Amino acid sequence: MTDKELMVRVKAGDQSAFKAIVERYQRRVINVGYRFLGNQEDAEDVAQETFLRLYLSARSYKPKAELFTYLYTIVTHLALNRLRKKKRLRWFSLNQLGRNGEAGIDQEVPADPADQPDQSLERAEREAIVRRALDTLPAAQKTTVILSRYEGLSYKQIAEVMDISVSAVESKLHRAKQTLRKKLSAYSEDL
Amino acid sequence: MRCQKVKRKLSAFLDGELSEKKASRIAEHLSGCQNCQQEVAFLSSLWERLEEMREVDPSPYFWTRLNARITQAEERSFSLDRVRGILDRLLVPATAIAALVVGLWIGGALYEVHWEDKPNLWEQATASLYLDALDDFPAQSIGLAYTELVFD
Repeated sequence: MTDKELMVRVKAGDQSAFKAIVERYQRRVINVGYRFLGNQEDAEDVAQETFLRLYLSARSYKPKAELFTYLYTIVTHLALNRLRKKKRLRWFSLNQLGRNGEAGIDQEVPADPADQPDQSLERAEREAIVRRALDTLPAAQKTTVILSRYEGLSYKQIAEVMDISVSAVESKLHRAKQTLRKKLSAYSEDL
Repeated sequence: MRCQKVKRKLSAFLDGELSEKKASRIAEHLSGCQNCQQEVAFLSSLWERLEEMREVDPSPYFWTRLNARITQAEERSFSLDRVRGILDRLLVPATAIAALVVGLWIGGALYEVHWEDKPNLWEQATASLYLDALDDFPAQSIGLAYTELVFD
């Protein structure tokens, strides 16, 4: 069943149709939140808020764009808002004094059950390096990288989610890549 | 094409976002430019490097928690709707009562301003009637008669 057909059913109060939408998109929505926030608990909370908003607005939902564009727009806004709040809180937090350059206290790197302890540690370290580099990007550049690299969205789809032009997406991605290259070059011989 | 212009487009080129015409011009430039080839290698390597950040699996209770939040939100919305319904039903009588109270208050205030400090019309009319009744007596005659009654 297509997203539109499912949304028509949700509009009519069909709870199972909504569950089908959640099952279809939960992984993608949670992971967008995770790329921004670096913490699964926060990512799931933001993802739940995203689906809740979709459910509550289902009656007035008009399929102007694809459903996933709508979901990405909501989750991106919510994650960025939460990130801003966290940064403000962190600024006041004494725990963070002298920790510049370390991953944030709320950022976690999940262990892969397939990894050996050493591999897992090494992997976690590599992931933390990438995350720190991503965190240095301005919000809009970070969003383009997350949606392009991790979600595989086209520039046109990213433009729809961010409500900017395709050429703006191209330019932001170009600048983001240049910054990331500088940040990651210290950790990689290829860069 | 100049290298600087090509480098700006390399990201879109690697993402397959350029038109066929632009992509073939870039490819043509790349075939003869070692510097730009190196840039392509850097960018590809960077994109691979970002792969280090893995995906997370949704927790098994994601739907259960979401469902609970939906129920909570619906209950909140239901009680708000009820309050709104009650308010809607009370709106017409409450407006009528308020209009009546305001009308009475304004009426009372106008009465105080216009009528309370002025002599009653009836009193004014009867007073002039009584004065007219004295017209039949000569001037000062009533006073003289009163003085005589008191002092004699």
